[in-house]
Amino acid sequence: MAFCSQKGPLWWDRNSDRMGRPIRPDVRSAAHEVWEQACSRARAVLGDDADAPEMMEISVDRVSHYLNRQELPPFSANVAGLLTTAFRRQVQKRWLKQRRIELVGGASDLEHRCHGSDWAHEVDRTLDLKKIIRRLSQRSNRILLRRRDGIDWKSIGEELGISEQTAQNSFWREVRQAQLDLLNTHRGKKENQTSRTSTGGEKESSHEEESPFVSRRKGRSRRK
Amino acid sequence: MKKNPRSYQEEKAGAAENELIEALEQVVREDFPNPERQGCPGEKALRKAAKSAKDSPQFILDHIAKCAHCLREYDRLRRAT
Repeated sequence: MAFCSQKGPLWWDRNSDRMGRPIRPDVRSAAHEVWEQACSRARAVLGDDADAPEMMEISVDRVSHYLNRQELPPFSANVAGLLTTAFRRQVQKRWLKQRRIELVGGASDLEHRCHGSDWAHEVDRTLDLKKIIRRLSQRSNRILLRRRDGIDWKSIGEELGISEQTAQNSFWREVRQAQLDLLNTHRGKKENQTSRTSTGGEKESSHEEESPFVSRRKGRSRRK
Repeated sequence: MKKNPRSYQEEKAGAAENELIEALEQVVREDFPNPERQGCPGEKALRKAAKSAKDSPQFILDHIAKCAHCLREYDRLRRAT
C-alpha cells in the first residue's frame, strides 16, 4: 500500500479495499488521471477539496468492485469516465448532506447545547422508534422479525414473491411513511400549542412533543 | 473508519435496522404481555419454527410479534438450537 504523493490533498492509493478485495490497477491509474479534475469539481461544488481524498477512495473502491462484478478485463473499459461519474455522485451526496446539516454555532455553543441532554435525546429517540413500530403493518413486522433472525433480503423477497430490492424498498418506505406521519402529528400538536399560548392559554411542554427526528429530518420533511 | 456503516435505506430513513429491531422487541414486551397465553401456538410449533427460522410459518411470526411470552420462548429455543 502506498500514499499518493502529489501536490494538494492526498488520497490513499492502495492495493486492496477495506474488505480486503484487490483494487484494479486500471482504476488506480484512472484515479491519477482524473485527480486534478476531481479536486476542481469538489472545490466548485463544496467550496473546498478537503473531502476529495475520501470521496476518491470511495469512488475507486466502488468502480473497481463494479468492474470486477462485470468481469471486465483490466484496461478494457473507459475507467476514467466511470470514475468521474462515481466521484461526481459522491460530491453530489456530500453537497446534499451539507445542506441538511443545521449549524448550531461554535464549539463553545455546542458544549452548552449538548451538555447533559444526551440521555433525554436517547429516550425521545427510543419513544419515537416505538411509535414507528406501532404504525408498521403486520407484513413489515414479520419482515423485521425475519431480519432479526438473520434472514437475508433475498429469502424474504422470495417468500413474499417479490424481488429482494422491492422487499427492501417497500419495508423502508413504510418506515419513512410512519416517520412522516409521526412528524405531522408532532407538528399538529405544536401548532395547537402555539395557538393556545397566543390566546393566553398555559404553555405545556413534554419530551414527547419534541421528536429527535424533527431536527434531523427537517429538510426532507419539507419536500413532502 | 465507521464501525457499522448504515445502509442507504437506513440513512434515508434516519433509523438503523438494529434500532428498529430493538424497538420491536420493546413494543412486544410492553404492549403484548399476553399473561393468559391467548392463541399461543405451543412449544412444539415454536421449537419447529426456531429450528428453521427461514421456513417458520407466517402465523407463528405474526403471533410472536404480538406475544411477549412466545417471543421470549422463541429466542430461548433459537439460542438452544
